[in-house]
Amino acid sequence: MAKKVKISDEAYEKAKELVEKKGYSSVEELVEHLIDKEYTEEGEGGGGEEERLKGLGYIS
Amino acid sequence: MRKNFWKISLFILPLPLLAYVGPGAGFAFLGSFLFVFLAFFAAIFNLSTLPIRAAIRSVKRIKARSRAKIKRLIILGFDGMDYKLTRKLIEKGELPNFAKLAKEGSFLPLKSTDPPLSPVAWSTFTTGVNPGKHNIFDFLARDPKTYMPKLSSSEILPPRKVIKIGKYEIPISKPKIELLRKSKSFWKVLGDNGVYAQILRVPFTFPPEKFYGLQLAGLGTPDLRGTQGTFTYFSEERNEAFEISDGVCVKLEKNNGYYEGAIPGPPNPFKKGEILYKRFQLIPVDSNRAKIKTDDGEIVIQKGKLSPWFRLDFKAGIVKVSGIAQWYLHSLSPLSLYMSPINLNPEKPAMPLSHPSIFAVYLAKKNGPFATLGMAEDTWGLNEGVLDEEGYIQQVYNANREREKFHFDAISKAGDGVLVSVFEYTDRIQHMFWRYIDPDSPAPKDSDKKEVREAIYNVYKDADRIVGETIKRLKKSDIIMIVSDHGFGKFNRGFNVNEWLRREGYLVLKEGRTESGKWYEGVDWSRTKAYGFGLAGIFLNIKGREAHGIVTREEAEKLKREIKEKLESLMDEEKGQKPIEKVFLKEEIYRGPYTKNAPDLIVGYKIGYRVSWESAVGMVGGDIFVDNTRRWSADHSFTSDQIPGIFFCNRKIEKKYPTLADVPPTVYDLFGVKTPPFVEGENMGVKV
Repeated sequence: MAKKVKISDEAYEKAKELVEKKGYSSVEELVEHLIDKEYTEEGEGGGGEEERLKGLGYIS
Repeated sequence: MRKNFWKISLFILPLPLLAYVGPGAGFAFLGSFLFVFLAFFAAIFNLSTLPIRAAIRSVKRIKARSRAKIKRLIILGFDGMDYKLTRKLIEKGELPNFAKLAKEGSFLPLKSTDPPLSPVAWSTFTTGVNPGKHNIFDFLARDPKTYMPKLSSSEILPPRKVIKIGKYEIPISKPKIELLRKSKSFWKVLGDNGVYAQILRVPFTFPPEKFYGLQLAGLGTPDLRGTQGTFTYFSEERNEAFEISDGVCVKLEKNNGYYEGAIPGPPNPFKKGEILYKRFQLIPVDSNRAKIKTDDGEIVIQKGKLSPWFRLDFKAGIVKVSGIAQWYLHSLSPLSLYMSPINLNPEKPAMPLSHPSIFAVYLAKKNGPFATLGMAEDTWGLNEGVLDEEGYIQQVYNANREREKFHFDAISKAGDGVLVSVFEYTDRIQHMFWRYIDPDSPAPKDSDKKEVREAIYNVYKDADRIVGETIKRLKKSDIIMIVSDHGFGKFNRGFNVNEWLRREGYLVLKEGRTESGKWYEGVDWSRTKAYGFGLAGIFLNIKGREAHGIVTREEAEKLKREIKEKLESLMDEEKGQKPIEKVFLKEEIYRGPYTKNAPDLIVGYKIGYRVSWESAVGMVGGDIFVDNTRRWSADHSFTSDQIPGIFFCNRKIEKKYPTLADVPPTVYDLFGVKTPPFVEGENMGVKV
């Protein structure tokens, strides 16, 4: 379920500028991407998913 | 004491299944009453606001109708349908329905993406943007912290909250199943503007997204084991590990006139490292038929004929995970029996298959069980010889007939709006049977059966039949477009890019090693500057980006140009041919916020060449060029200019050189929806 976050008008305007400049489809996409980026940098790495690739004809 | 009682009660109380999430994850439960209360209040809120939401939607719909130039648009997709071959067959008079469209409307080559791989190309079709904005660059993405691969299109993460009791793990929160494709689909934008859409089996739409319409997920949807398709082979003679494909081989023994054994199923969600099994009996009826019996039911299978779908429920304590599979009996003496990958049962989907979720259930109730696995056609079953060519063709057409039913049902029911149906059998047949139309192919051509030798022409003719049947059902004002994501070409020689990088000194193995295992096992990252990844990528081992990166950002610029130049002048001396048409630097062809996730170099092969099977799974070693002797004898990781896809429309269009990215803005224009600023494609200018 989607959650709502409040940010200042100034931050929102900056976000809109970034959306246009960088090519995101929406402010939501920008925010999620930035959070994912920070989150990934903090994490240890997922270790890949070799098991899930089984049966993928192109590489199996 | 109270705490322990609560934990024990989890085993005793019958709790409903929420979702099955594949390997290493497990089942999630409605583990707390709070969740139930929240769901109840959410339902009340939704019901009470329903009239307001319906009124808003109704106003949007009226506005949408008044803006639209047309009422209904049907987009048919044929994965991998090649422009040059289509043109040739039209000229020979083999494709009358396509020919009629070409004569009365438009027929043009459709430019794909670089690389022209299905996940990349269909994602551009879906969004109207380049890969730098939708984040899909290959079938695989790599984790720079581990150098390990993962699927580029979706991610399944286990529940974050788990109660451990001894050797058991009880998940109490939901797993995360996420679509990794970014940007916005055109059906989402249409829905936001009151235009209804039905999206059937568009590749890389797993998990399905919420929008105003219906969606059935396509290529990328996993099987019940969580993989992209793991077959099982039962035999009394062979007990082998399949070296390349990771299929499962089970040895069966005959006792008292019948065979008894166990079907390996999904991982046990409560015990890490264990899998669930289903007991079954195989009872010979006569020399050509046998009965398969489980506690869920029985089915008689016939030699040389793919069976109907058979339900397989796997039990883990109080939880049941439901799948379906098909059988193919080669022989009873000696026993040789193939079982397809276990598909998610669409009547009881353990993972999201559709939007809304009830849509898959509706389709199954109406039409019977159907293939839900993204790549339902078992190319590796055929490659390994556990499924013969006739069996494979049956499997391909069975899956396609199921999709046809959905497509024609959708046309008959669809009101105003868009219907997109994608058929993938054109791709699967070309991959596996190109060897029969290519005299130079080193792959086996062991069948003399007409249906096998002419499989490619037959599938093009069958696509033409679907087009004809669709056109018959159209209203005069309807517009139809037919697209493919890329064309096709022979794949006769594999290029071992990782071994080439090693010999050039860019990739280094650990002391004493002359070759690596899969996924770079044995690579010395502290001395490696570049590595091949996926079907077309080369990444530099960049300091601060890769876990053990050694190349500085300053060095990277020079290094990638150096590798590009060497590859572009490379020769396959044995054949006297250049294997590579062009090497792209990522910043030359991608722009957008996800460009940094792309490989640093993208290799565009010449037709006839592809990355070798070994390099595609991160192996180093062997010869630099190898003959491709597998039945998978054609591919499409060449430069996009060499293998355009197809574009047909029953109206003339203004644009002379359309691209896949042009589809969304063209659709927006037809429905009077303003093209969002992030979209890069151009309106093709359909003359309505």
